[in-house]
Amino acid sequence: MVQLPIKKLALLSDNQLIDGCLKGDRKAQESLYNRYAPRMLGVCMRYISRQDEAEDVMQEAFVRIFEKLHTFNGESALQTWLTRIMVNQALNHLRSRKTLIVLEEDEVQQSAVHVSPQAYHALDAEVVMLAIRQLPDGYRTVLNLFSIEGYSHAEIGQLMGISESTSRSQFSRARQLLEKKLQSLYPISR
Amino acid sequence: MNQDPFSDFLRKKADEFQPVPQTTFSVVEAKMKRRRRKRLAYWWTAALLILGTGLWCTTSLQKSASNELLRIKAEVQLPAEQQVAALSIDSANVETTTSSTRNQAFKNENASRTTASGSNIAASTSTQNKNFQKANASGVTASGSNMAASTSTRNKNFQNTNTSRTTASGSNMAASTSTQNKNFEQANTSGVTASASNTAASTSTRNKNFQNTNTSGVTASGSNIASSTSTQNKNFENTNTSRSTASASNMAASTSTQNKNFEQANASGVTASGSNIASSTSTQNKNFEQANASSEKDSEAKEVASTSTPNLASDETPISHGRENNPSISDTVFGHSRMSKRDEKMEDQPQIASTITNSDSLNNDHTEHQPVQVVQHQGFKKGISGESTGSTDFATPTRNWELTLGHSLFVSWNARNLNSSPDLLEALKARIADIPNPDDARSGQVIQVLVSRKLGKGFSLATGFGYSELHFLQFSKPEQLAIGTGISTSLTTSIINLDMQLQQVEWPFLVQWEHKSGRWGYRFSAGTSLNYTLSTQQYHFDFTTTSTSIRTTANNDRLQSAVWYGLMSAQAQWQFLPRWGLRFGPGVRFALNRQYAPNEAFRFLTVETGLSFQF
Repeated sequence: MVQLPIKKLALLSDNQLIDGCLKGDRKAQESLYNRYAPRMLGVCMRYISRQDEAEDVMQEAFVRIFEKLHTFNGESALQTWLTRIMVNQALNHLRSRKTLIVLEEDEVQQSAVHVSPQAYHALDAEVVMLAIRQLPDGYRTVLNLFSIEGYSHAEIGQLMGISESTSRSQFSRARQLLEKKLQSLYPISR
Repeated sequence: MNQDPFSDFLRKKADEFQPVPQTTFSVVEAKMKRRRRKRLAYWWTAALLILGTGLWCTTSLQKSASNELLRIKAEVQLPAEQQVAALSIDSANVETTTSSTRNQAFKNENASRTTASGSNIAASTSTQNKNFQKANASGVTASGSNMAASTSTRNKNFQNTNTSRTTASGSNMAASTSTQNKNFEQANTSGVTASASNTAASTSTRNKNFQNTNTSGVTASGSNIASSTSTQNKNFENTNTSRSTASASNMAASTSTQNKNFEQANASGVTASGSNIASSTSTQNKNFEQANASSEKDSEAKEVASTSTPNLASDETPISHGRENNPSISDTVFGHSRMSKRDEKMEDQPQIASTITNSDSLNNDHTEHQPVQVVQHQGFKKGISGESTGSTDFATPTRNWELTLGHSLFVSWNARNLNSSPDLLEALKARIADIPNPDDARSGQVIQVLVSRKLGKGFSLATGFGYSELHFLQFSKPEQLAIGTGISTSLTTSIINLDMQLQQVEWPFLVQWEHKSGRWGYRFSAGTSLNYTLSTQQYHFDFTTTSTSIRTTANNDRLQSAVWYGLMSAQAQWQFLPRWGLRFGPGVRFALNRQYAPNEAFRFLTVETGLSFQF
């Protein structure tokens, strides 16, 4: 098999890279990694606050991706498939670390009034993500799964082993806590 | 997808968030390789586990099948006791070799006209064999040869109870390295031939309560019992009554140290030959007792000879002996020089010195029943009365030096395997025409005088002169007749005592002269061979498993070297050993030899027969 330079590989489509990876082309694998690693690291860091730990999880997930790439059937976008694997890997990691404990007690004061997200549009993504990473593990996970990944509360309940109502209340509290953190970072008048 | 504004806001920010990883793809690649190796190791382990489990299951199944077979045999045997005559039960090789460890309560109960052969039972590495019992009724031939041989350690309660017309041969029982053999018992009644040769031989250390109780018409030969390196043999008892021949030669010989309560009670008509009993280097022999009644032929000379030192429990029992047929006892047994060194100690016993040093005194003493006491052998109680005849088979106190005279006539024939191409065959024939070797056939005689010296620890060195007369005959050139003679020197290393195994290196050198062609030459060969020698009372079997030699033949201007590799050869001889030390008889030796020489490859089947004797 003719191996293309890494720079030319970067121009190939996802499907072409997948073909190269399936044929055992190391450069294709590297190119796929370079293409998706920053985005996937961002996914992992939304679940795992420490960056070195998140990178470990991402590497393990990529190992699994290269091993299971032949099972990718193309029904969804590659990025979606990769993200799902990253999320699962991060959840497994949190479970193994036993930090995925959902707080049942109220730790935040209920706030009936939500601030419009438009007020925070000026915030950098790094700042918002930092605020998310400062949430407790349970809140952060539910918030990520519901708001960003798009899971329903029923699915979140199954994934995390909690009830649907718990997922809802966890999300509500996570949102309030995040808004509070964002307000402290970027005070706005109500 | 949740479409609320807050989620949209977070998704947008999440998409924007793309931190740069600190690690490169090489880390992922390394993890992949590690994971692959781990998986491979896992599969290998699983495969090995499955294989091991399979082997274990197979072995277990085979063992259980074997046990089941034994059980079925035992069940089949029961009705045979009552109904079926001449039933032959072969329980040979039961629990043989290697790994059997605990064989408890192995029982053979054989009824009349039954032949039970339990050879090689629990051989080699078995360790604990308890309660091996054979109860044989009349007409039974029980041969328990090589039972618990080689490395067995604890054999308790081996019992052979044989009644009339029974032949029980328990040769090589618990041989070589067994250490604790307790309560070996043989109770033989009339018409019984019990030969317990080589019982607990070589390196056994503790043999307690070996008992032979033989009644009339019994021939009990317990040769080499607990010989060589055994140390503690207690309560050896031979109780022989009338018309019994009890030859307990070489009992506890050579290096045994503590032999207590050796007792032989022989009644009338008994021929008791206890040669070399506890001889050579034994040190403490307590309560050696021999009570021989009238009409005895007693030859128990030279017990604890030469280097044995204090024998305790000295009861000075008057000895009336018959030494007239043993005139050289003073020289051969105790010796002038050795006794003279102890003159100071013997001051109080002047009659002892005269008895020992003067053979004439010996001849006179036997009629007068003068008491004889040996200073070095205090504690021996000898009660001998009436006529006694002696034996002169005690001339070599320690047998450290041995003289071997051998003569053999032989005819050998080489069956050449010429599975070669015709061209090569012609080429070989052309070569064969020039050299006397290989031979088509040969005959000759070998006269050998060999002196061997035991070096201890199972090693011995032999050297000597051998005259070999060989007649070579080649069918291709019958006129070539070569006669050779030479000398033979060899270093013999005995791995295990009692000739169980012998490894020897020998360097025979022959000078040959070719008749008619008038050419001189020589043959020189050096090599090793590994022999397995098995000696019983009457037979001597010699198996040579491998034999390798380098043979160089030179005649005048030609030098040829070849490597001979003998695969196997066997020879059987009838012998008078150990009583007379004479081995005589026809031997047939088959040897498959292969010669490797430059550009030549022969394979020979050598059939060699002849007569040889050795003493």
